[in-house]
Amino acid sequence: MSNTEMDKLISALAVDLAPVQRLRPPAVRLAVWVFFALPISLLLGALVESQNIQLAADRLQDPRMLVELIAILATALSAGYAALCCVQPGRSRFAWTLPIVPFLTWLALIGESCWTLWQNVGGQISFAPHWVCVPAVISTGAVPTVLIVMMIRRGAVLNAPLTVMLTTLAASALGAVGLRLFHQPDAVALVFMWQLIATFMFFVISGLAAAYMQNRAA
Amino acid sequence: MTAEDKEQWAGLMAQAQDGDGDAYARLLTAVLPKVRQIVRHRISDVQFAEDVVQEVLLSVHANRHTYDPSLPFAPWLYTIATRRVADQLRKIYRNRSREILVDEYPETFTGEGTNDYEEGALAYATSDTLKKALAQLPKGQRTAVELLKLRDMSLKEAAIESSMSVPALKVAMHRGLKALQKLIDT
Repeated sequence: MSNTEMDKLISALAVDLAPVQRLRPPAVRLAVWVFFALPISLLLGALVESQNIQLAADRLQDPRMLVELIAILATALSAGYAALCCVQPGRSRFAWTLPIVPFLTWLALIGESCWTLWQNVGGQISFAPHWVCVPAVISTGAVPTVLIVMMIRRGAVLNAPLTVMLTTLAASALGAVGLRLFHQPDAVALVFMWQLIATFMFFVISGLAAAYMQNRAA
Repeated sequence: MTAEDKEQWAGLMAQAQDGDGDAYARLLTAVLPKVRQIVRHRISDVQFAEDVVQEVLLSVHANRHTYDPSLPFAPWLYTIATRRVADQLRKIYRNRSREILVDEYPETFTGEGTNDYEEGALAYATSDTLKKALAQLPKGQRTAVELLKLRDMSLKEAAIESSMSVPALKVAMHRGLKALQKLIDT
Protein backbone atom coordinates (compact mmCIF):
# COMPACT_ATOMS: atom_id res chain seq x y z
CA MET A 1 0.00 0.00 0.00
CA SER A 2 1.47 3.35 -1.06
CA ASN A 3 1.71 6.39 1.19
CA THR A 4 -1.16 8.00 -0.71
CA GLU A 5 -3.36 5.00 -0.03
CA MET A 6 -2.33 4.98 3.63
CA ASP A 7 -3.20 8.70 3.80
CA LYS A 8 -6.60 7.87 2.31
CA LEU A 9 -7.14 5.21 4.98
CA ILE A 10 -6.18 7.66 7.74
CA SER A 11 -8.55 10.28 6.30
CA ALA A 12 -11.34 7.71 6.07
CA LEU A 13 -10.83 6.73 9.72
CA ALA A 14 -10.65 10.33 10.95
CA VAL A 15 -13.62 11.72 9.06
CA ASP A 16 -16.81 12.08 11.14
CA LEU A 17 -14.97 10.62 14.12
CA ALA A 18 -17.45 9.77 16.87
CA PRO A 19 -16.50 10.43 20.50
CA VAL A 20 -16.01 7.25 22.53
CA GLN A 21 -16.69 6.41 26.15
CA ARG A 22 -13.34 5.64 27.76
CA LEU A 23 -12.94 2.32 29.49
CA ARG A 24 -12.50 2.84 33.23
CA PRO A 25 -9.36 1.47 34.95
CA PRO A 26 -9.44 -2.29 35.70
CA ALA A 27 -9.66 -1.74 39.49
CA VAL A 28 -12.81 0.36 39.11
CA ARG A 29 -14.37 -2.14 36.71
CA LEU A 30 -13.49 -4.98 39.07
CA ALA A 31 -15.20 -3.16 41.95
CA VAL A 32 -18.33 -2.69 39.80
CA TRP A 33 -18.32 -6.39 38.90
CA VAL A 34 -17.97 -7.59 42.49
CA PHE A 35 -20.47 -4.99 43.79
CA PHE A 36 -23.22 -6.32 41.50
CA ALA A 37 -22.27 -9.96 40.92
CA LEU A 38 -21.41 -11.17 44.42
CA PRO A 39 -24.60 -10.12 46.28
CA ILE A 40 -26.84 -11.41 43.45
CA SER A 41 -24.89 -14.68 43.30
CA LEU A 42 -25.21 -15.13 47.09
CA LEU A 43 -28.89 -14.25 47.03
CA LEU A 44 -29.67 -16.72 44.23
CA GLY A 45 -27.56 -19.39 45.95
CA ALA A 46 -29.52 -18.84 49.18
CA LEU A 47 -32.83 -19.03 47.30
CA VAL A 48 -31.99 -22.24 45.45
CA GLU A 49 -30.45 -23.88 48.53
CA SER A 50 -32.83 -22.28 51.05
CA GLN A 51 -32.81 -25.45 53.18
CA ASN A 52 -29.07 -24.87 53.84
CA ILE A 53 -29.16 -21.34 55.29
CA GLN A 54 -28.29 -22.69 58.75
CA LEU A 55 -25.47 -24.76 57.20
CA ALA A 56 -24.04 -21.57 55.64
CA ALA A 57 -24.19 -19.78 59.00
CA ASP A 58 -22.39 -22.72 60.66
CA ARG A 59 -19.74 -22.78 57.92
CA LEU A 60 -19.02 -19.08 58.51
CA GLN A 61 -18.07 -19.96 62.09
CA ASP A 62 -15.54 -22.56 60.91
CA PRO A 63 -12.01 -21.01 60.69
CA ARG A 64 -10.89 -23.48 58.00
CA MET A 65 -13.91 -22.64 55.89
CA LEU A 66 -13.19 -18.94 56.32
CA VAL A 67 -9.63 -19.45 55.03
CA GLU A 68 -11.03 -21.33 52.04
CA LEU A 69 -13.61 -18.61 51.33
CA ILE A 70 -10.89 -15.95 51.52
CA ALA A 71 -8.71 -17.97 49.07
CA ILE A 72 -11.68 -18.35 46.69
CA LEU A 73 -12.53 -14.64 46.90
CA ALA A 74 -8.86 -13.66 46.43
CA THR A 75 -8.74 -15.91 43.34
CA ALA A 76 -11.87 -14.24 41.96
CA LEU A 77 -10.54 -10.73 42.59
CA SER A 78 -7.02 -11.32 41.27
CA ALA A 79 -8.17 -13.30 38.20
CA GLY A 80 -10.89 -10.71 37.50
CA TYR A 81 -8.37 -7.86 37.76
CA ALA A 82 -5.92 -9.71 35.51
CA ALA A 83 -8.65 -10.46 32.93
CA LEU A 84 -9.73 -6.82 32.87
CA CYS A 85 -6.05 -5.73 32.50
CA CYS A 86 -5.71 -8.16 29.59
CA VAL A 87 -8.33 -6.29 27.56
CA GLN A 88 -6.77 -2.86 28.15
CA PRO A 89 -3.59 -2.65 26.05
CA GLY A 90 -0.63 -1.01 27.76
CA ARG A 91 -1.43 -2.37 31.23
CA SER A 92 1.05 -4.60 33.04
CA ARG A 93 1.96 -7.70 31.03
CA PHE A 94 2.45 -9.66 34.24
CA ALA A 95 -0.99 -9.14 35.78
CA TRP A 96 -1.83 -12.73 34.84
CA THR A 97 0.55 -13.93 37.59
CA LEU A 98 -1.61 -12.36 40.32
CA PRO A 99 -4.10 -15.25 40.71
CA ILE A 100 -1.40 -17.94 40.90
CA VAL A 101 -0.89 -17.89 44.69
CA PRO A 102 -4.56 -17.63 45.74
CA PHE A 103 -5.58 -20.22 43.15
CA LEU A 104 -2.90 -22.67 44.31
CA THR A 105 -4.01 -22.09 47.90
CA TRP A 106 -7.59 -22.80 46.92
CA LEU A 107 -6.56 -25.95 45.02
CA ALA A 108 -4.50 -27.11 48.00
CA LEU A 109 -7.53 -26.72 50.26
CA ILE A 110 -9.67 -28.63 47.74
CA GLY A 111 -7.02 -31.35 47.71
CA GLU A 112 -7.06 -31.50 51.48
CA SER A 113 -10.89 -31.72 51.53
CA CYS A 114 -10.83 -34.49 48.94
CA TRP A 115 -8.21 -36.40 50.91
CA THR A 116 -10.30 -36.15 54.09
CA LEU A 117 -13.41 -37.24 52.18
CA TRP A 118 -11.48 -40.15 50.65
CA GLN A 119 -10.38 -41.32 54.08
CA ASN A 120 -13.92 -41.03 55.48
CA VAL A 121 -15.77 -42.87 52.72
CA GLY A 122 -12.97 -45.29 51.85
CA GLY A 123 -12.85 -45.11 48.07
CA GLN A 124 -16.63 -44.84 47.58
CA ILE A 125 -16.36 -41.53 45.73
CA SER A 126 -18.44 -41.41 42.54
CA PHE A 127 -17.22 -39.40 39.54
CA ALA A 128 -20.54 -39.71 37.68
CA PRO A 129 -22.29 -36.43 36.73
CA HIS A 130 -24.03 -35.03 39.81
CA TRP A 131 -27.08 -33.41 38.23
CA VAL A 132 -28.33 -32.38 41.65
CA CYS A 133 -25.48 -29.83 41.77
CA VAL A 134 -26.44 -28.15 38.48
CA PRO A 135 -29.12 -25.74 39.85
CA ALA A 136 -26.73 -24.53 42.56
CA VAL A 137 -23.86 -24.12 40.07
CA ILE A 138 -26.05 -22.17 37.64
CA SER A 139 -27.71 -19.98 40.26
CA THR A 140 -24.40 -18.90 41.83
CA GLY A 141 -22.30 -18.81 38.64
CA ALA A 142 -24.61 -17.29 36.02
CA VAL A 143 -24.62 -13.64 37.10
CA PRO A 144 -20.83 -13.33 37.72
CA THR A 145 -20.24 -14.99 34.34
CA VAL A 146 -22.70 -12.87 32.36
CA LEU A 147 -21.45 -9.63 33.90
CA ILE A 148 -17.75 -10.28 33.44
CA VAL A 149 -18.24 -11.54 29.86
CA MET A 150 -20.08 -8.27 29.07
CA MET A 151 -17.25 -6.26 30.64
CA ILE A 152 -14.53 -8.22 28.84
CA ARG A 153 -16.25 -7.76 25.49
CA ARG A 154 -16.16 -3.96 26.00
CA GLY A 155 -12.35 -4.16 25.95
CA ALA A 156 -9.83 -5.22 23.32
CA VAL A 157 -9.48 -8.99 23.32
CA LEU A 158 -5.99 -9.17 21.84
CA ASN A 159 -4.83 -12.32 23.63
CA ALA A 160 -7.95 -14.47 23.53
CA PRO A 161 -6.65 -17.69 25.18
CA LEU A 162 -5.25 -15.88 28.24
CA THR A 163 -8.32 -13.65 28.51
CA VAL A 164 -10.72 -16.61 28.33
CA MET A 165 -8.71 -18.55 30.94
CA LEU A 166 -8.58 -15.66 33.40
CA THR A 167 -12.24 -14.75 32.85
CA THR A 168 -13.33 -18.33 33.34
CA LEU A 169 -11.31 -18.61 36.53
CA ALA A 170 -12.62 -15.30 37.89
CA ALA A 171 -16.27 -16.11 37.19
CA SER A 172 -15.92 -19.66 38.52
CA ALA A 173 -14.27 -18.44 41.70
CA LEU A 174 -16.83 -15.71 42.42
CA GLY A 175 -19.64 -18.21 41.83
CA ALA A 176 -17.83 -20.71 44.05
CA VAL A 177 -18.12 -18.37 47.05
CA GLY A 178 -21.90 -18.86 47.18
CA LEU A 179 -21.63 -22.49 46.15
CA ARG A 180 -19.17 -23.27 48.93
CA LEU A 181 -21.40 -21.58 51.48
CA PHE A 182 -24.81 -22.97 50.56
CA HIS A 183 -24.26 -26.24 48.72
CA GLN A 184 -24.60 -29.32 50.94
CA PRO A 185 -22.33 -31.96 49.28
CA ASP A 186 -18.71 -31.50 50.29
CA ALA A 187 -17.06 -33.04 47.21
CA VAL A 188 -15.51 -29.68 46.40
CA ALA A 189 -13.32 -30.91 43.53
CA LEU A 190 -16.39 -32.19 41.66
CA VAL A 191 -18.35 -29.05 42.40
CA PHE A 192 -15.41 -26.92 41.24
CA MET A 193 -15.16 -28.97 38.03
CA TRP A 194 -18.87 -28.41 37.36
CA GLN A 195 -18.44 -24.72 38.02
CA LEU A 196 -15.55 -24.49 35.53
CA ILE A 197 -17.42 -26.48 32.86
CA ALA A 198 -20.56 -24.36 33.25
CA THR A 199 -18.63 -21.08 33.06
CA PHE A 200 -16.56 -22.18 30.08
CA MET A 201 -19.68 -23.38 28.21
CA PHE A 202 -21.35 -20.06 28.87
CA PHE A 203 -18.33 -18.14 27.60
CA VAL A 204 -18.21 -20.21 24.39
CA ILE A 205 -21.97 -19.86 23.81
CA SER A 206 -21.87 -16.09 24.40
CA GLY A 207 -18.91 -15.79 21.98
CA LEU A 208 -20.79 -17.72 19.29
CA ALA A 209 -23.94 -15.68 19.89
CA ALA A 210 -21.95 -12.44 19.60
CA ALA A 211 -20.32 -13.59 16.34
CA TYR A 212 -23.75 -14.58 15.00
CA MET A 213 -25.28 -11.23 15.95
CA GLN A 214 -22.35 -9.34 14.40
CA ASN A 215 -22.91 -11.20 11.11
CA ARG A 216 -26.64 -10.54 11.25
CA ALA A 217 -26.03 -6.84 11.85
CA ALA A 218 -23.59 -6.78 8.91
CA MET B 1 10.65 9.10 19.06
CA THR B 2 11.28 11.60 21.85
CA ALA B 3 9.58 11.91 25.24
CA GLU B 4 7.91 15.02 23.85
CA ASP B 5 6.47 12.99 20.95
CA LYS B 6 5.04 10.43 23.36
CA GLU B 7 3.42 13.13 25.46
CA GLN B 8 2.00 14.74 22.35
CA TRP B 9 0.59 11.39 21.16
CA ALA B 10 -1.18 10.89 24.49
CA GLY B 11 -2.74 14.36 24.20
CA LEU B 12 -3.82 13.81 20.59
CA MET B 13 -5.39 10.46 21.49
CA ALA B 14 -7.32 12.02 24.36
CA GLN B 15 -8.65 14.64 21.92
CA ALA B 16 -9.47 11.89 19.40
CA GLN B 17 -11.44 10.03 22.08
CA ASP B 18 -13.53 13.18 22.48
CA GLY B 19 -14.31 13.13 18.74
CA ASP B 20 -11.62 15.46 17.33
CA GLY B 21 -11.02 14.05 13.83
CA ASP B 22 -8.15 16.44 13.01
CA ALA B 23 -6.23 15.42 16.13
CA TYR B 24 -6.86 11.80 15.24
CA ALA B 25 -5.55 12.21 11.68
CA ARG B 26 -2.44 13.97 13.04
CA LEU B 27 -1.93 11.18 15.58
CA LEU B 28 -2.25 8.36 13.04
CA THR B 29 0.12 10.14 10.66
CA ALA B 30 2.61 10.71 13.49
CA VAL B 31 2.55 7.10 14.75
CA LEU B 32 2.69 5.55 11.26
CA PRO B 33 6.54 5.40 11.11
CA LYS B 34 6.64 3.78 14.56
CA VAL B 35 3.99 1.21 13.55
CA ARG B 36 5.91 0.48 10.34
CA GLN B 37 9.09 0.02 12.38
CA ILE B 38 7.39 -2.46 14.76
CA VAL B 39 5.83 -4.42 11.89
CA ARG B 40 8.90 -4.49 9.62
CA HIS B 41 11.05 -5.65 12.52
CA ARG B 42 9.09 -8.92 12.35
CA ILE B 43 7.94 -9.10 8.71
CA SER B 44 10.42 -8.69 5.89
CA ASP B 45 7.97 -8.82 2.96
CA VAL B 46 7.28 -5.12 2.33
CA GLN B 47 3.87 -5.60 0.70
CA PHE B 48 2.65 -7.95 3.42
CA ALA B 49 4.09 -5.66 6.10
CA GLU B 50 2.07 -2.74 4.69
CA ASP B 51 -1.12 -4.84 4.86
CA VAL B 52 -0.34 -5.58 8.52
CA VAL B 53 0.34 -1.88 9.22
CA GLN B 54 -3.12 -1.22 7.85
CA GLU B 55 -4.55 -3.91 10.17
CA VAL B 56 -2.82 -2.26 13.11
CA LEU B 57 -4.32 1.14 12.26
CA LEU B 58 -7.78 -0.45 12.02
CA SER B 59 -7.23 -2.11 15.42
CA VAL B 60 -6.13 1.19 16.94
CA HIS B 61 -9.32 2.72 15.57
CA ALA B 62 -11.58 -0.08 16.84
CA ASN B 63 -10.00 -0.08 20.30
CA ARG B 64 -9.38 3.63 20.85
CA HIS B 65 -11.82 3.66 23.77
CA THR B 66 -9.47 1.33 25.71
CA TYR B 67 -6.71 3.94 25.98
CA ASP B 68 -6.40 5.61 29.38
CA PRO B 69 -4.99 9.16 28.92
CA SER B 70 -3.35 9.01 32.36
CA LEU B 71 -1.02 6.28 31.05
CA PRO B 72 1.76 6.51 28.41
CA PHE B 73 0.55 6.06 24.83
CA ALA B 74 3.52 4.09 23.45
CA PRO B 75 2.95 0.82 25.42
CA TRP B 76 -0.73 0.87 24.39
CA LEU B 77 0.22 1.22 20.71
CA TYR B 78 3.05 -1.32 21.01
CA THR B 79 0.75 -3.96 22.56
CA ILE B 80 -1.83 -3.60 19.80
CA ALA B 81 0.82 -3.63 17.05
CA THR B 82 2.70 -6.69 18.33
CA ARG B 83 -0.51 -8.67 18.91
CA ARG B 84 -1.79 -7.86 15.41
CA VAL B 85 1.56 -8.86 13.88
CA ALA B 86 1.45 -12.16 15.81
CA ASP B 87 -2.15 -12.78 14.62
CA GLN B 88 -1.22 -12.14 10.99
CA LEU B 89 1.87 -14.35 11.16
CA ARG B 90 -0.16 -17.12 12.79
CA LYS B 91 -2.72 -16.83 9.98
CA ILE B 92 0.02 -17.05 7.36
CA TYR B 93 1.64 -20.12 8.96
CA ARG B 94 -1.76 -21.81 9.30
CA ASN B 95 -2.64 -21.16 5.64
CA ARG B 96 0.80 -22.30 4.46
CA SER B 97 0.47 -25.57 6.34
CA ARG B 98 -2.69 -26.31 4.35
CA GLU B 99 -1.39 -25.23 0.94
CA ILE B 100 0.32 -27.44 -1.63
CA LEU B 101 2.28 -25.63 -4.34
CA VAL B 102 1.89 -27.12 -7.82
CA ASP B 103 3.55 -26.14 -11.09
CA GLU B 104 0.41 -26.73 -13.11
CA TYR B 105 -3.22 -26.80 -12.11
CA PRO B 106 -4.59 -30.33 -12.35
CA GLU B 107 -7.10 -30.73 -15.20
CA THR B 108 -10.53 -31.51 -13.83
CA PHE B 109 -12.52 -31.97 -17.03
CA THR B 110 -11.29 -32.03 -20.58
CA GLY B 111 -13.65 -29.31 -21.88
CA GLU B 112 -11.95 -25.97 -22.57
CA GLY B 113 -14.45 -23.97 -20.52
CA THR B 114 -13.60 -25.86 -17.35
CA ASN B 115 -9.87 -25.22 -17.70
CA ASP B 116 -9.85 -21.49 -18.29
CA TYR B 117 -7.86 -20.51 -15.19
CA GLU B 118 -7.15 -16.98 -16.37
CA GLU B 119 -10.51 -15.64 -15.31
CA GLY B 120 -10.61 -17.40 -11.96
CA ALA B 121 -13.53 -19.24 -10.44
CA LEU B 122 -16.18 -17.12 -12.09
CA ALA B 123 -14.89 -18.02 -15.54
CA TYR B 124 -17.06 -21.11 -15.61
CA ALA B 125 -19.88 -18.87 -16.68
CA THR B 126 -19.83 -16.93 -19.93
CA SER B 127 -19.63 -13.15 -19.42
CA ASP B 128 -23.27 -12.68 -20.52
CA THR B 129 -24.51 -15.25 -18.05
CA LEU B 130 -22.40 -13.71 -15.35
CA LYS B 131 -23.62 -10.19 -16.09
CA LYS B 132 -27.25 -11.32 -15.99
CA ALA B 133 -26.71 -13.24 -12.77
CA LEU B 134 -24.88 -10.30 -11.16
CA ALA B 135 -27.69 -7.95 -12.10
CA GLN B 136 -30.14 -10.15 -10.19
CA LEU B 137 -28.18 -9.97 -6.93
CA PRO B 138 -29.20 -7.55 -4.14
CA LYS B 139 -27.15 -4.32 -4.22
CA GLY B 140 -24.87 -5.16 -1.24
CA GLN B 141 -24.01 -8.61 -2.57
CA ARG B 142 -23.41 -7.29 -6.10
CA THR B 143 -21.09 -4.57 -4.78
CA ALA B 144 -19.13 -7.11 -2.69
CA VAL B 145 -18.66 -9.51 -5.62
CA GLU B 146 -17.72 -6.73 -8.05
CA LEU B 147 -15.15 -5.13 -5.73
CA LEU B 148 -13.61 -8.25 -4.24
CA LYS B 149 -13.72 -10.70 -7.15
CA LEU B 150 -13.94 -8.69 -10.37
CA ARG B 151 -11.84 -5.68 -9.32
CA ASP B 152 -9.64 -7.82 -7.05
CA MET B 153 -9.63 -5.34 -4.16
CA SER B 154 -8.59 -6.25 -0.61
CA LEU B 155 -11.29 -6.27 2.07
CA LYS B 156 -10.07 -2.95 3.50
CA GLU B 157 -9.97 -1.23 0.14
CA ALA B 158 -13.43 -2.55 -0.72
CA ALA B 159 -14.73 -1.40 2.67
CA ILE B 160 -13.54 2.14 2.01
CA GLU B 161 -14.83 2.16 -1.57
CA SER B 162 -18.27 0.78 -0.70
CA SER B 163 -18.70 2.34 2.78
CA MET B 164 -19.58 -1.14 4.05
CA SER B 165 -17.87 -2.69 7.08
CA VAL B 166 -15.40 -5.55 6.59
CA PRO B 167 -17.70 -8.12 8.31
CA ALA B 168 -20.63 -6.89 6.19
CA LEU B 169 -18.53 -7.31 3.05
CA LYS B 170 -17.51 -10.82 4.05
CA VAL B 171 -21.12 -11.84 4.67
CA ALA B 172 -22.34 -10.17 1.46
CA MET B 173 -19.52 -11.86 -0.49
CA HIS B 174 -20.36 -15.28 0.91
CA ARG B 175 -24.07 -14.90 0.22
CA GLY B 176 -23.44 -13.31 -3.16
CA LEU B 177 -21.25 -16.20 -4.38
CA LYS B 178 -23.81 -18.73 -3.20
CA ALA B 179 -26.61 -16.85 -4.98
CA LEU B 180 -24.46 -16.51 -8.13
CA GLN B 181 -23.78 -20.24 -8.14
CA LYS B 182 -27.52 -20.94 -7.93
CA LEU B 183 -28.39 -18.42 -10.64
CA ILE B 184 -25.69 -19.75 -13.01
CA ASP B 185 -26.64 -23.37 -12.41
CA THR B 186 -30.33 -22.80 -13.20
